[in-house]
Amino acid sequence: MIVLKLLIYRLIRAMVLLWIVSLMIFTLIRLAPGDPVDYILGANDLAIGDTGTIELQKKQVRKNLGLDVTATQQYLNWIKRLALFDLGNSYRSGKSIVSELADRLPATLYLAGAAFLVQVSIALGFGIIASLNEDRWADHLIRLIGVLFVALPSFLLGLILLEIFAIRYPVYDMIGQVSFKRMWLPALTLGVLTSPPVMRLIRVNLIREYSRQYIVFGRSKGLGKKRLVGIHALGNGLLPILSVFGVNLAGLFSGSVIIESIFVLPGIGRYAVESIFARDYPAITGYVLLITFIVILLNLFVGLSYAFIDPRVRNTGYITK
Amino acid sequence: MTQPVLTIRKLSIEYKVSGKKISAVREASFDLCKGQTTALIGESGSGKTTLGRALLGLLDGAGIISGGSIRFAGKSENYAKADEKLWRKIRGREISLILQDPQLTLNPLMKIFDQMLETMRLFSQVSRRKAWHRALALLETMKLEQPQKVLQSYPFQLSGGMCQRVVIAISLINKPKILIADEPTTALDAEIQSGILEELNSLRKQQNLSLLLITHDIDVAAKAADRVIVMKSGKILEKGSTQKVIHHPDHPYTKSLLDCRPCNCWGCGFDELSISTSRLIPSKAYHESPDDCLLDVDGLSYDYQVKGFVDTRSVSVLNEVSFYIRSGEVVGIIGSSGSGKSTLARCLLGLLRVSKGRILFKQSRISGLKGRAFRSECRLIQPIFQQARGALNPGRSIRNIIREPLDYHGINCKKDRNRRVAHLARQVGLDSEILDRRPSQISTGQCQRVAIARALVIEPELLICDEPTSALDLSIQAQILNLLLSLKSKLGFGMLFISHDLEVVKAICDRILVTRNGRLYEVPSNG
Amino acid sequence: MKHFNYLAAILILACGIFLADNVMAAKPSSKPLVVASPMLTHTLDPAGFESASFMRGMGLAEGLMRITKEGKIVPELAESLTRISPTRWEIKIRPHVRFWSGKAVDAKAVYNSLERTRALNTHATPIIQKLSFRIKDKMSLIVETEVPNPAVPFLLAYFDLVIHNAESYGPELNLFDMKAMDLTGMFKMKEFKANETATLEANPDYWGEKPLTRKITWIEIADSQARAMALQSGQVDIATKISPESAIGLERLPHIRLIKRPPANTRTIYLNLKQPYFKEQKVRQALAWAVDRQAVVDLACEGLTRPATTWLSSNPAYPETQSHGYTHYDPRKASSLLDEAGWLQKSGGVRSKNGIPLRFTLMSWGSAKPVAEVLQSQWRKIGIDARVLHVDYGIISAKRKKGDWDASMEAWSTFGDAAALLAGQFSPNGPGNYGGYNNVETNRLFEQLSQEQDLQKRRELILRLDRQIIEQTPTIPLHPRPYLTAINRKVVGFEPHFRQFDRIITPGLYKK
Repeated sequence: MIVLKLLIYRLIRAMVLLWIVSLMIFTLIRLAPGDPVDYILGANDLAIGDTGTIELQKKQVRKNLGLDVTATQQYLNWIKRLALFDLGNSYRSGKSIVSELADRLPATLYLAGAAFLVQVSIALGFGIIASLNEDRWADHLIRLIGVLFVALPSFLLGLILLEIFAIRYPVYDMIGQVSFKRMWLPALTLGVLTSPPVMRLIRVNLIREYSRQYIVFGRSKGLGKKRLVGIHALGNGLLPILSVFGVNLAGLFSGSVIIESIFVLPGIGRYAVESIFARDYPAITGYVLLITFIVILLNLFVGLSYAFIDPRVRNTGYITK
Repeated sequence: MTQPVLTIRKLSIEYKVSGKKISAVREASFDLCKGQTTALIGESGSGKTTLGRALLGLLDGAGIISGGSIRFAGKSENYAKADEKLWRKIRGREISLILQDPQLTLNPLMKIFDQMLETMRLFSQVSRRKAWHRALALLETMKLEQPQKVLQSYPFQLSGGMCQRVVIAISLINKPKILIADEPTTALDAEIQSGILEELNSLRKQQNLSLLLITHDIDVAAKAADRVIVMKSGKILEKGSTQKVIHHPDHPYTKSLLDCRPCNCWGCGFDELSISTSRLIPSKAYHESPDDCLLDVDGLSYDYQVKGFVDTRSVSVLNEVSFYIRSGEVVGIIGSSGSGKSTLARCLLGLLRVSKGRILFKQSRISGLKGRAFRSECRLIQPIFQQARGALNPGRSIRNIIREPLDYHGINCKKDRNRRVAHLARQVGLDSEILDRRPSQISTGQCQRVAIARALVIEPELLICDEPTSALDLSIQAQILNLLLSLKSKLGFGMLFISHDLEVVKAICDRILVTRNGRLYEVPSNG
Repeated sequence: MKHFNYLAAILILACGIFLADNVMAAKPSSKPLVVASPMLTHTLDPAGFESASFMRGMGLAEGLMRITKEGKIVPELAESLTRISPTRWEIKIRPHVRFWSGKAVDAKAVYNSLERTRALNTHATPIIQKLSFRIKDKMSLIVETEVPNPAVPFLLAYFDLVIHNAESYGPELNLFDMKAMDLTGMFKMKEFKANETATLEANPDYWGEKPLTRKITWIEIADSQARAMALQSGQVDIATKISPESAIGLERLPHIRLIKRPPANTRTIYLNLKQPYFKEQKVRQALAWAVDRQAVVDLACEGLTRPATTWLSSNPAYPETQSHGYTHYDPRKASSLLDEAGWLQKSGGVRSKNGIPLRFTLMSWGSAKPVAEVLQSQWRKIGIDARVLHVDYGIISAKRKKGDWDASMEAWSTFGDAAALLAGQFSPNGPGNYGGYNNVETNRLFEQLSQEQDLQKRRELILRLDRQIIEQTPTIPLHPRPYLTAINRKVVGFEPHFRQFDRIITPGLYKK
């Protein structure tokens, strides 16, 4: 019962948030310079005829896109469609935004999920090693590697890896369906590049945990290093990082444009950028709503996982905050 | 004398701090005997904790044993030179440890039973069910009520005393012969302290344990130990039977330790509980306040909001509390932990919003004021907290910390401010060279002096001291209390002194109030 | 001996058959081709956004007329186009052409297709509104124009006028229905994932020369460097629209061929003629003379295009224009023009007149940033201070609409009906006339051109116009925007077209 109430409460909050976000993005993109009609008509590279004809032509296009009414009316129309889970049609392809996003979501989900796994495993592995060797050469080496990864532009690493794995030793397929063969390299790139901050965070948190009394007590009981680090310190040390994981995952979901373009992935990040360049209003709004929704979902998930892992949270109902 | 289970000879321990070696323990030699309690007394920084940890090979990264020997009875190895692998063979089975704050000693994310289970499974295969029964039996011997419920609880669901009992039970699971108890009762309320000490004592007798009790509290040592070792600056100054050391101390330091106690009738079991409720007069709402009233609190209530999944409960922490403080008066508030005394302090400082009632400071109402308005109105009320180090910004120099209130309120020019800071520092007994250091580079006692200097820098009329000396060693406690009293007589401020220690309160306060379950009672002056 | 002769004959015959079989087998069974481009057709309907031109390039769709790689207009689905009177033309449709579905391409089908385009394809509006169609008989159509228009062949070759089966597509836009897709091209669409891949299969019933390749996979790779790498790795055979930066790396590789045919467009600096200093013709001319076009091409475009002397000079049909206008770099002339105009330079600083410095902002977007930066440094040499503002195109168009701008860059297509294109750039209400150029003499020439029917005289008029305009320099031509295609050397028969999106696939194209 409580869970049900919680979910309903969360749902209402999510709806309100989505509504506010939709209103904001709806207004903001219309305030941005540039007219979608220009993009649609400008695409043919030809400047012929006279301005009168062009104006007529623009009027026609504007009418086709439903942009010939006031912004308020446009918003109402859009909301009406949204109530039926219809985000409208793309100005460019004419296809429904829902299906366009659905087409691109698998690649993004796969990439984000896999990159997240890579990120977390690298961060955990190196973070633990660094924390156990605090201020010794291994720690310094890992710190150096971390700095290198952070400093490395993603397109550079992407291109270097492509050079190696697609050209020199062709084991990576640049074309084809969304599958492991296709995703491992971009996921690796993205995961590696986003891991250093998490790695540092894990290291610092673990080092702090090591000096806690329960670790000293655990050692005095005779517990081994593996159990102390792997279960006791890691469990407590990861708690504060959980929300960072949530934020990171949300970032990965919103799409990495550069990785997607370099590795030829049909993901939503690139879709969003192309839509923005073309002022494809419904597509931009749809993308923003999708990402907002994912972020809300992730937050809920992080909240629930806190409750799952931390008994103190579970028993005081902190998650509703 | 019975045969020793642990022999320490000329044990020296050093810390490496940024290349420099700092000696923590110098050539310590002593024995721990079967079935005996040995107390290791010393103020903080004397090396007693380091020594205790070294006996389990638990020195942290920078600490190393530089010489001497640690020998367990029946083992040929010199454990002063042992590696982690060797230590793991005896930790838990030969020697065990309990620590100061029992709630921090347990992993907050694991149920008590799981923490016991992992300990049982260290050296033998035990089924879950068998382990359950054994754990139950263990908790029962520790006199824990509802042991089944305890086993299924997380540490945060238990009180400090319960946790300490659990910790003791866990540390004894694998039947060690030696138990090192590092300040096992310091973080606990007085009423629980003696219970834990008794428990340790009876366990020692039952299991023929050798107990090393590390404490700064000479009373505890006197009560519980057969033998006493006194340490200062890494050196053992004196050791011998309790009778001898406490009553006929050889070393002048031991004598000074004994003299530091605010009340000389040690062991008479003084705590606020000994004042029976019948003798207390409830503080009345709408009382008559005197003319020279500095602070007037009337019908103050504070409810704590607990947010649940959907609803919000409110828990009453303070209930219709009324009292007053005259200017230049020292009023003490005592009460056990959780009785609401710290909440009261926070309400007075505007850190919590009161639910009901009013607070008058020099006849003007300060309850309900917010933000800057409150701060400018109430700058003449200054706090001193228990954790002095925690209250100081670690990134700033001491000079800046003390000067901060002047900067904030824009008092005087910079030159005058610095002069005032230097003057105050002298008054609270701080060397001028300390002013350029950072909080991490000075001792806890010095931190508290800095906190006092900061509180006094804008010449407040009321100091609210929330357990200002509880985190300090006895000798330093006395110094700080004396300092506060002498400053008070010089500067003439009023003081609200919150403590759980009746002896301290009695020693310095003009009037004493008692909090109990969120209500405030007055101790009649003839009590 | 007799027997030996027989034996020899049989042997030779066998060898011959074997060889012939080999030779014949080599071509049609050639390997599938993989093409990578930054964009695929957006939809499956030729009336959809950014679709028809892609379909033509992919060998899926055809029009009545087409533009050859030399810049000539030739019949495609039409068999002939003849002018009956100045306003009336007759199209004879090529016989025996069928849509993929088997439906015959006759006058009615063509008429329906064109009318569907008129109704649904807003892109085609400026073109198709000039034309009205009438069915003459089963295989011929009449095209009429309101005013005499010698450019009808160009208009009919316009890439949006793709002949498709209007019945199958239906009266509304039918964007992603593979079953409805019915065209005439040498390749059929087999599979399509928008923004991802398209799989094409040879059309066995194609009316013209049958393609040698059976299967083409078309993939969208947005990043130029990634396209180049895919080509380098051998996973892709043809990569279109390679950026100059990625092209340098490819040029060195032995197994890659870089195709550098400059396209028919001119990257041009548009000047806001309402700004006082741009009102002065001498200032505009000085700006144009001070541009070292070869250096721009070398530095900003890696030498992968060529300078343009006038706006029209990138049109392959008018090679004469390459000797008009700014044929060389002449900073001295630029300086003296500015001096004459009263913009004087003191001790190497920024030129000024009446205390106003010669300073303006040049807006660039897309790939034009390096060009803008090279221009900036060239102009600085003669004391002109240009500030470069690299922004999103939306900001440029918004600023131009408000009139709040100095100079910006754009590259419009120069190929097609040259008269209409020039009018689009330089007549007072041309949509590409951003600067507000309005000159009596030029307008008179435009008027004269619109009356003239004789093709030779029209050509002369166009050349006169080109000279007239470049003399006044309302815009500064720079160079055709580099558009590079790179192919694997195993690919045979690639015919570089100056419109790089057009006819990428030709029947003779195959992979060894």
